[in-house]
Amino acid sequence: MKRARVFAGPIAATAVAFVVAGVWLALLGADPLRALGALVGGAFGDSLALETTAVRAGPLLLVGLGVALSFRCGIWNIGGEGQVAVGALAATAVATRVAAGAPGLVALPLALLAGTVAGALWAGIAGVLKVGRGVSEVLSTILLNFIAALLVAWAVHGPLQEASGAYPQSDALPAAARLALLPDLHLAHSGLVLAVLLPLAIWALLFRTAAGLRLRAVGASPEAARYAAVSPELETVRVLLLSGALAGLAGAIEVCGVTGRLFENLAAGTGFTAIAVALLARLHPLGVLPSALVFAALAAGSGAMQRSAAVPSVAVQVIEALVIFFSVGFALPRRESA
Amino acid sequence: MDAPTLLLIASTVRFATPLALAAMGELVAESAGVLNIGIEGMMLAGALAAYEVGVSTGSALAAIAAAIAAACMLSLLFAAFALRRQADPIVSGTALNILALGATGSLFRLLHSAGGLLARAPRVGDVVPGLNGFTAGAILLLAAVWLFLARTRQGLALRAAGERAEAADAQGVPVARLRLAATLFGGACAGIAGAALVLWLSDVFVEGMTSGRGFIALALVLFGGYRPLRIAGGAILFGAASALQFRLQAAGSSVPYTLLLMTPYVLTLLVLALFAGRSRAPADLAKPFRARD
Amino acid sequence: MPLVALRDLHKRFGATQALRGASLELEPGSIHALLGENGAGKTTLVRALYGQVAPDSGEIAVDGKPVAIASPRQALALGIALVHQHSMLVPALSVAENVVLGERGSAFLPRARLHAEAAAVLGRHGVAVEPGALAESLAVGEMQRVEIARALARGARVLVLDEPTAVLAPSEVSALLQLLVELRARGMSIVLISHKLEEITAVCDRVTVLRAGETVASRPLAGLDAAQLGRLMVGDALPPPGRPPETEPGPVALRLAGLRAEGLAGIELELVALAGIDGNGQRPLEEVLAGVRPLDAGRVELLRPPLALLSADRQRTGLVLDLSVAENLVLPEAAHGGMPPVFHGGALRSAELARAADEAIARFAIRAAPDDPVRTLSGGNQQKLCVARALRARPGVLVAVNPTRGLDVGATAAVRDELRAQARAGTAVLVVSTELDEVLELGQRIAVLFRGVLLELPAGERSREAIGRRMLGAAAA
Repeated sequence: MKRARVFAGPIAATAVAFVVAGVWLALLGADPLRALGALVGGAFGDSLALETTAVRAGPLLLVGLGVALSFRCGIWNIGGEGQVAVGALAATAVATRVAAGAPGLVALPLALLAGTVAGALWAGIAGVLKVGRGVSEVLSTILLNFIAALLVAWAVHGPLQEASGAYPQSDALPAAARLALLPDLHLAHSGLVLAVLLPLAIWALLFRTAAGLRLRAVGASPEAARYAAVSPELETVRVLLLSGALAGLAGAIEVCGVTGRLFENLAAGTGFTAIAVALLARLHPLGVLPSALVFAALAAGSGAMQRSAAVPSVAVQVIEALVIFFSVGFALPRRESA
Repeated sequence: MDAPTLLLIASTVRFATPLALAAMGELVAESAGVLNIGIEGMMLAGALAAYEVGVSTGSALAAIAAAIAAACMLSLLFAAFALRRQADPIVSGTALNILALGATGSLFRLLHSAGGLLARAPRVGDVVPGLNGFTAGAILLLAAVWLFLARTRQGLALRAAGERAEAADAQGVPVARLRLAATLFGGACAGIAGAALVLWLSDVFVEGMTSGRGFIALALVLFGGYRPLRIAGGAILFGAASALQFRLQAAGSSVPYTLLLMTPYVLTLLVLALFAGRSRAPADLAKPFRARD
Repeated sequence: MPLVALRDLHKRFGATQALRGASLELEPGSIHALLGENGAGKTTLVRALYGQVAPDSGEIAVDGKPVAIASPRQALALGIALVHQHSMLVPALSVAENVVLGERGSAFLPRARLHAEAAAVLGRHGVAVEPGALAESLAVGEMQRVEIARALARGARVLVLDEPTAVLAPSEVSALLQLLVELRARGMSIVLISHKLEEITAVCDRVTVLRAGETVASRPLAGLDAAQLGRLMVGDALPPPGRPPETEPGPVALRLAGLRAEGLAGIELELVALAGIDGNGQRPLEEVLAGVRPLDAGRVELLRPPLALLSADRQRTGLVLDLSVAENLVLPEAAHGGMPPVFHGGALRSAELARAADEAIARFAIRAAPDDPVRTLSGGNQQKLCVARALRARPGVLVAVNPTRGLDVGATAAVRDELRAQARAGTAVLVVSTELDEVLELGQRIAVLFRGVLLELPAGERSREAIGRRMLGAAAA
């Protein structure tokens, strides 16, 4: 019975969010039921739609894992956007410049590694600022988002721009650096395998290791943790590095598995949606999987929604925000103040 | 003073004013103990409301009123979750920003789906030659906020609610009501700042046009150590940086414009790194308060 | 007709029934004692009177008329004032601002008017404190006097004081009791919450005894002695006060030499029991020993490691409330990279964790299951868990700060017995406590912490008066 209660909250939150969004759309003159129908069709209608949803879920899952981890530790990492961007940037730079001629066994892992490290370091900046100078990670990670987006813009207009110079985008990644498609599928790439395995690994880390116990202790009560010889500072930096790494990996996988090249606004919005993903999952690593699918479906269906029901695709962000509100207002256990 | 310098000063003031407006509002909110990181979204909502109402009525005053109303509605939403339900204010504020981004984006596209040239919003001009209406407002706001917080009984009650809500409550201070009022005031200021973007700095609405100004305003409150005059000084500093950056772009600097655009954000990080640790926030900031068990 | 009547109040907080039929009737011009051990519901009852707690059922009447008191504002309007157990001044504001806070008056409040209003209040009640000083710079006794003056200035007819003497030195206690007698003579009605029987018998007219949230007695004090009161309070005869263990002290286990840090002005110490009024350096000392506060000078020589610390604030620094009993138990081991046997190579071994938790629960009689969140445990069980965790490290030195604060009689006895047992087994035990009784019951050697310095008590002078004098700074008599 208790198990079922755990799901009731998130399900209710999602349902209410959809209803409220529907009312809002109706007020604006759009047809909410038609929009919903288009949404569902675009997400699950046929095998291509399913693949689209799955592919969209990948980065949401990874970044959402990182967000869930850091929120659990009391660290507000709002920098998913920027960490994904620098991850994609680093992967592209390595794949198209550094390891341009290398064989697949070298190029792909190197690109993914570069993305992971870049994301970790980008989040690490916020960690160092917090621990060293007392800067709120909320502000620093958000500011770093803007800087990262501009960094990508600079790269695709400059050093990483494609050889023909026609568009602000990078060269296409060499085949050696691309993630192979899963057998018999058209969109779903092998990076998804990684995305599905990681929640389990993160769960094990959080609940079955000393490191995980330390992180959870710091998140629940930094002062009590300090008295027990745990260093909140160290754990803060560690969790930011890890969540940044996950986001950076997501960015690298996006480039290597989906888009094949770097351009501005690649995977834009992933970072913020991932926050909704983590909250809907109640910050539980295993819950991030179904939660990511919900939001991926929203994203996958939004295009269809725009085409068939004339509702701007950006409206799904309203649904996302409502899900967050209802999740924290009613479904998520309130964090007790010390 | 030569023309380029005068232009630079004018440019500085133009960039600084919305920041100062939003920061003053946030100062009042934080002094009462409310951490509202959603002012970015409120500013954006204010900008859209100001644009649409401004264009359809032709009245700048109506536009500003609409901006305040839109921002206050979002403030109420924020208050409903962060204050009443005691949901985490960081999460609530982030959700608000996402909501505002999505709502303003979709509303704007729906309203202008026909395409074509965008109408221009009415402009707010100078009340005195060289002094724009918004800047005059910001100066008045600065004085009013200082006076209120430092020299009135209600201001004292508000500061007590932010420093130690349970002690204020024990003395009969209506903490919940004060925090709500402070949140609405902060939202209204953010709304006016958004209106300034559309009725002065530019004359159309662009999706996401706030570009992080709300977060810079948050940083300014920290940078100014919760003191109105210092916050205004910070706003001028940022205004100057933005103005300089545009000047460099216009002058055809060899630095790519994308890197120049980073200036405000990098500057904010720098400022935070230098000053955030030293500024003392109200002790009960962002802590939920339950009046009666 | 009673001035204030609380009748049959019930209140539940989650799983805890804090009040189950608590009543109190206050006559005008009297000092009424509200007696009960820790956890009996005294604070909840007066907070209901003050509008900070909404009773589930029951009635409150003032001047014979039933009232619903929904906020402190309403209570103050009815003339009821509450001086809380822990100071309710806003630390970052000045004394003047604190005094004026909440008072009606002109909207505009320039500095001159602020200080004039505050000075008037402080002067009228003889409180010699700088209005411009920050509230956090005051000594605890001074804070209390400001709060009392403030309450009187708001026209209170009923003054409720929640454990006011817990933070005072013995001579300050006498001054406070004297003040209460004067106020009674002027017609004030006073409710005095305390668990100190001598104070109650000294000044009170009537006593209401609460036990487990219920009023078990309400009668005039005349004729009741401390023993009878104790029995009413606990439902049984109070255990006799314990005595320090009779062991021969061994070699020096912990030496603190010339410690200087913020709040400490030079500590020289070789293991004793430490008395002192809260605010004289206990917290900095605890933080230095816990390793969370840096030393400006001096050194801590730990000659018999390891050192285990029982923190003063078990809810904030002692335990992580949102984690389980088992997780809290092994947290220090996780901190050191994951020590065996519970951890192996950083990974958790569930079987070993379960065994450790079961052992601790059994040995220390902790009423909880290993997976229960610590937040749900009673204060006594939380403290026993802290003791269990501290002893897992097999400490050579055990530092216990206010080990029985907020615990009921049974848990208090259990914790003190354990400390004595540790001393008998050869552990060096340092007890830092603000309860004089505790210091006298446990300390083979006693010293007093005053303004960050230690004043040692000569062997022949084990008395409350001797300790009390040093608590106020008087060195060797």
